Amino acid sequence: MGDYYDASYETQCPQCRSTKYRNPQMKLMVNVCGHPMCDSCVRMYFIKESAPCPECEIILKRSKFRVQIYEDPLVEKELAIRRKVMKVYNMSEDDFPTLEEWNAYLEEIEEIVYNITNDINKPEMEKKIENYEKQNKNEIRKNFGKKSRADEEIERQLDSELMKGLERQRILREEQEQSMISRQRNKTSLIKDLMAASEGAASLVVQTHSERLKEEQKRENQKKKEQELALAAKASEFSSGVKIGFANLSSAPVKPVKEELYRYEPPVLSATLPAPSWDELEEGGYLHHVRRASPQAMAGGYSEHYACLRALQDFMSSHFLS
Amino acid sequence: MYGSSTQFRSWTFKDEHELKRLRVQANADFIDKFGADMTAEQRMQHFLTAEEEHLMVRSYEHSLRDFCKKFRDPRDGRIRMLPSATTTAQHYFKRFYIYNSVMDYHPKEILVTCVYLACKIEEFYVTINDFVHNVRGDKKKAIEIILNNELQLTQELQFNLIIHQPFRPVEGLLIDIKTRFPQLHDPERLRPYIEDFLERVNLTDAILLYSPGQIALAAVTTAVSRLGENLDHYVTDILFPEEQKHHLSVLIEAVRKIKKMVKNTEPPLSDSVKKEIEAKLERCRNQQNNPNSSQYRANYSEWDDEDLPIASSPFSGDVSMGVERIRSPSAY
Repeated sequence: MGDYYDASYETQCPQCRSTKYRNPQMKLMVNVCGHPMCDSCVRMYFIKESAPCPECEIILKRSKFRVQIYEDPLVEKELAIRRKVMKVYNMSEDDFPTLEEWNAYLEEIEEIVYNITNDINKPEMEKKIENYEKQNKNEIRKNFGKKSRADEEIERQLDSELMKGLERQRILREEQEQSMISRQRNKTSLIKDLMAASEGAASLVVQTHSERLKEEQKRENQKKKEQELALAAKASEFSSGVKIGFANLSSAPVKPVKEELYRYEPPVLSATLPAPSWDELEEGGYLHHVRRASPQAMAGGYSEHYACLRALQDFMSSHFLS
Repeated sequence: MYGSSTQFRSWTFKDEHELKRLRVQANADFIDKFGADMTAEQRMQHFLTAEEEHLMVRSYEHSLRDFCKKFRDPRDGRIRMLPSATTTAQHYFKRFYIYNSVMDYHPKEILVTCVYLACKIEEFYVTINDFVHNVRGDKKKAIEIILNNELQLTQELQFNLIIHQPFRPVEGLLIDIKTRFPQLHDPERLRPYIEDFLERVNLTDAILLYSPGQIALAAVTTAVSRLGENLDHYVTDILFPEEQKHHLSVLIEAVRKIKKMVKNTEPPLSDSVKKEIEAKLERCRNQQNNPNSSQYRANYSEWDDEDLPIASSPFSGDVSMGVERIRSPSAY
């Protein structure tokens, strides 16, 4: 762990220049303007409820500070703006007759968010939001609190998971109660039997009892296992909708994709004048007419054959004999 | 390998007639597009003919050679342009004007763009700022023109940028001669003649019609005959194996043609003729591609990148071009 280096060590508060390395407890906070500041700076600057941002001098409220989650403060700023814009632009897909209109609507939102984030035509954009808010007052109020379909879906899944958890707890509790009752019953029956039995038969009675107990425990264990299996079968999905385990994979066999394999076809070249082969270079004396390879070049795997043969081939191969 | 190259597949043409046909086609296409509402007579007067266009391209090929010869790296005056970069630039320039009209893209702009691109492809490193030191006129504007045209040029070349040049085949041929034909005394004597030939062949259409090996053979045989010797024995008896003899005539014919083309290299246009054609071109060129026209400015200012400096208004009377003139050798 000694030489482990965390990239987040470099995070630095632009105000006090303190880094995460020096102060591991440091948290960067951002406000609506997107300029980060560490938590101790926030405490210092914002003794009163509101104060100007030391960088852009917009008046900020202390309560609006949030822990910076993303590395880029601009993203944080965008999120804050988006949250604000989405409060007004809160229609859902069902409110639009066609997909195009819905897309245009989304596009408009993105444009506004982008422009405000990057300070392009900011007053104009704010006016646009205001106008929209005025025009669509009723719809906004109606849609306020209404959840989008995606949200509903997630909620439904969370609910069902919660229900499953409760069910499991209930079963567990019942089991415990049952085993307690049966243990009690066994105890009392043993005592009764022992009281009724004669002196010599006591050990025999204890033996039969213990055997019966064992058998009961076995049966119980089996029951437990069955229940567990049943539960596992029920939970075949993660909350994200992804199937659990491999059982479902094997049920839908992957179709083998039949594809033609690449087959190399050597290019068909017309016949050319014959160039000497590698071995003939030496024997034919061609190598006497090229520069010898230096020892350094030879070490790298080069030999004068290459240059010589290439030049010869270049000449010979561009005479086509057809 | 040349046989599997794009140069062989797309940029080696059958004969001179095919080249001519394509050039005439490019000319006619431009006239059809821009002279739709003119009579045949007006067209004749207003536009350049295919013949005139060809003359322009030819004369700018000479300019390209001179530009490359005079090219200096401002950081180190000893650095010269590589011959391979020059050759590649010549190829690009010729290829570009096979399918494009001079009236569409002015050759003086394409010329520098070709050289700049060729420098990159042939790994002759020079920055754009150092590059425009060799261009006359407004440097900033030259940069703008070159960089604007660069992509257009590569596209017109169909992104086929590798050029197979005759230099390595010449080396191969010389190695082969030295090895298998020792009768020729000291082939190194041939070098200056070969270099001269390879420089001049770039000014002909031969490089669009024949393979680098054929050009190499033509260069070497020419050099040999300049020395008053001959290579016939080598070519017929040694180079060609016995069973391939019947193909010999094709090669000899090709070499003969290349030699003839090089011999008949046209001298650069006289200044007066060139001026006349250029004046005509200035009137009929596609104004959208003319960096001095208001249309061009309007087009570019629409998606102005801040890095396209639009220095003065088109009507300020300042008509200095980015690439005013390629420096002539006498300018030094």
